[in-house]
Amino acid sequence: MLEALQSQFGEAIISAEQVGRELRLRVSANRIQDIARCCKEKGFAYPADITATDTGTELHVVYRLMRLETDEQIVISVPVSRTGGRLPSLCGVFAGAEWPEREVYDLFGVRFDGHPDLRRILLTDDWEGHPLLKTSRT
Amino acid sequence: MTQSLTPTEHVTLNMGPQHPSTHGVLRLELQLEGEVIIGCRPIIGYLHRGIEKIAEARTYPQVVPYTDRLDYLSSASNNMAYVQAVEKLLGVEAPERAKFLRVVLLELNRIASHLVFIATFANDLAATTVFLYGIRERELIMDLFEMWAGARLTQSWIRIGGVGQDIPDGFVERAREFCRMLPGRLDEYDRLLTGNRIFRARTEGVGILPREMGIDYGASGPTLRGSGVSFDIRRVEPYEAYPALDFEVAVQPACDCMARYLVRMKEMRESVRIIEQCLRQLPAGEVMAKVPRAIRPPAGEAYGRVESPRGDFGCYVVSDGSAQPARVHFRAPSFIHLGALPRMLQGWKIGDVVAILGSIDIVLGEVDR
Amino acid sequence: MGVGQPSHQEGDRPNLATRAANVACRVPGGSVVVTTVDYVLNWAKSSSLWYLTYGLACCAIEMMCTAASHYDLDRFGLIFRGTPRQSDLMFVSGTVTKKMAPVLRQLYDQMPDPKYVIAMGGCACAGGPFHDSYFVVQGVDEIVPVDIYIAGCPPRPEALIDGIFRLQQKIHRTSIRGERRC
Repeated sequence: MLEALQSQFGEAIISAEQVGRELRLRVSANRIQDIARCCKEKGFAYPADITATDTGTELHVVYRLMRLETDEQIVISVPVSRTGGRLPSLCGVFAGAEWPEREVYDLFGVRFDGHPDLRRILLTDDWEGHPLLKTSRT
Repeated sequence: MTQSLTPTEHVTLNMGPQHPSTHGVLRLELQLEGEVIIGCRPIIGYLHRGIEKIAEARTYPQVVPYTDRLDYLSSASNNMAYVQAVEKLLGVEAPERAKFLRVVLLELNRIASHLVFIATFANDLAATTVFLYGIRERELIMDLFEMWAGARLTQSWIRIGGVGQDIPDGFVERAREFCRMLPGRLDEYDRLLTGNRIFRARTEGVGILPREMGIDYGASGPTLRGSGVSFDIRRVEPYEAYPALDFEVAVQPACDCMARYLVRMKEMRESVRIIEQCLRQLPAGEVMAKVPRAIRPPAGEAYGRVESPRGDFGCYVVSDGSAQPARVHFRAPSFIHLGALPRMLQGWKIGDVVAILGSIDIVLGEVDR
Repeated sequence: MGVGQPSHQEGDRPNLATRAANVACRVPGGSVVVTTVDYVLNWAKSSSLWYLTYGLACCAIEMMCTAASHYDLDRFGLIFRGTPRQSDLMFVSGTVTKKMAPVLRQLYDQMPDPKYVIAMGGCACAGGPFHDSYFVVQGVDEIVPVDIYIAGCPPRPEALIDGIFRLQQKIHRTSIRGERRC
């Protein structure tokens, strides 16, 4: 799987590591849609989770895809800027990306281009700020 | 939709956040054409307590009671996912006895949660008696929890490295007694509900979730197994004592509300089998591994995953080497299933909303976190 | 607003019953009538508290279990009503978030007088374990006046029933004369 991805996307895959069942990749933001589509075509059709982490210097948006028959997992981490970060939306690839992407927007402020309905999901519509950033107070 | 001579317009009907049948504080904005639902917008966040942010301000053991309050109908599953992730980071494994005891607790939680499902599902469809019967059985399980963990609902009993305390004397006999009694009660529910004409008319063929759509949305648990997909984390990625246990994964092909209900009924029977096996095979030994007093996992990330009564419950923990987690994220199956709800409701009548919403069995604690 | 205040506000013009009771007490033998009327009304109010199911979180499950057959709230006269228009009592069971707060206030306002609020569980009493959350209201008494607080996380069904008994005792201490005899 890794060879297939690397041969197709070469320079977009910044790093790769196999940890147990997880193939952990760090990829660049501009190719995330194509990489996700390629994974789905290869059988990783189950979007287990989309979330984000604030490392202090940048955000990592983490996508977790799974192949149900064999339980292999691909964990794709995409570095994004902490302020004004934008990523292409995966809603066209996985229907189940819609709500998790809204949650990442709500709590971290990452905008997803091409998302059909990007608005806050957990907090009130008039809330200011994005609480899960490290700069926001508890 | 039939054309009529009377001018009509679409009606927006607000359901919730206070509603007896929304299973919590969920708000559904339904667009109706007459009685037919043409659109639905779920609005959540009414129970968003900021648990993921709070977890960053607590030590690792202090996060465990917060996980109980997520999916509060089966708190042990949430504990398990978080503890699994932390144990992966620490490189710690629970002792064998603890693994079997954890499975007993998890399966008792599964039965308790499915009993609430039956109780509230039937109650929503106006079979109020079944509500009382379901809670009656659940009280017996809560007695077992209270005997062992001291708490009825939110036990916080699966801790980092093992289980809070060993089972007391008499627990095995009472648990076996419960396991002997439950299948007979489940037969009672079958007689009341499964063959009931009204129940069948309201659930058979209603709320179809096609297989591919389910997978594309990330559905899991009984919601996906009711669509013919045999995906159970206990089989696919076994944890704790599950590799040593023999049980069947309940799958139904029909993709409707009745299928999801039948899956949960079957799962309760399988849970009884699992508990009996665990009590028979329970090894002697410690129930808590040697874990440092101050838990500081090395920097890294881990993902813990369990088959909760709702589905694939995951917990993503990122550690930066300090005593407090850098990030804790809970992948809640109810959150994902609610995302699929608008498509599932499309075209059905307003009376079916309650049946379809009930059949995917959401808990708002884990939806909103 | 104050904690545990009766449902009418300070400065409201007393209603007809209160004015009549106050007049009656100045007549010889009138206070006997008033206390008998008090007794009957309080007995009626406290024995038939219809509650609004306002289950927010985990405490709602314990409320459900208390209402079911093992602990049985119906024997105390408590029946759940789905609409605030027909309820006397609101159990706030669970965490109140900032998004839910306006809804809670609206439901409280929709309940007819006399109405009572029981804050069930640590979160409703004072924010509970979420004391430092950015989205949790630190106790429902910031939004509605509370009559009884029941601590616990979640409180046992027996604790909930004890809270109801205390509310019934509190109701027995009220009078149509408008003042509370504590």
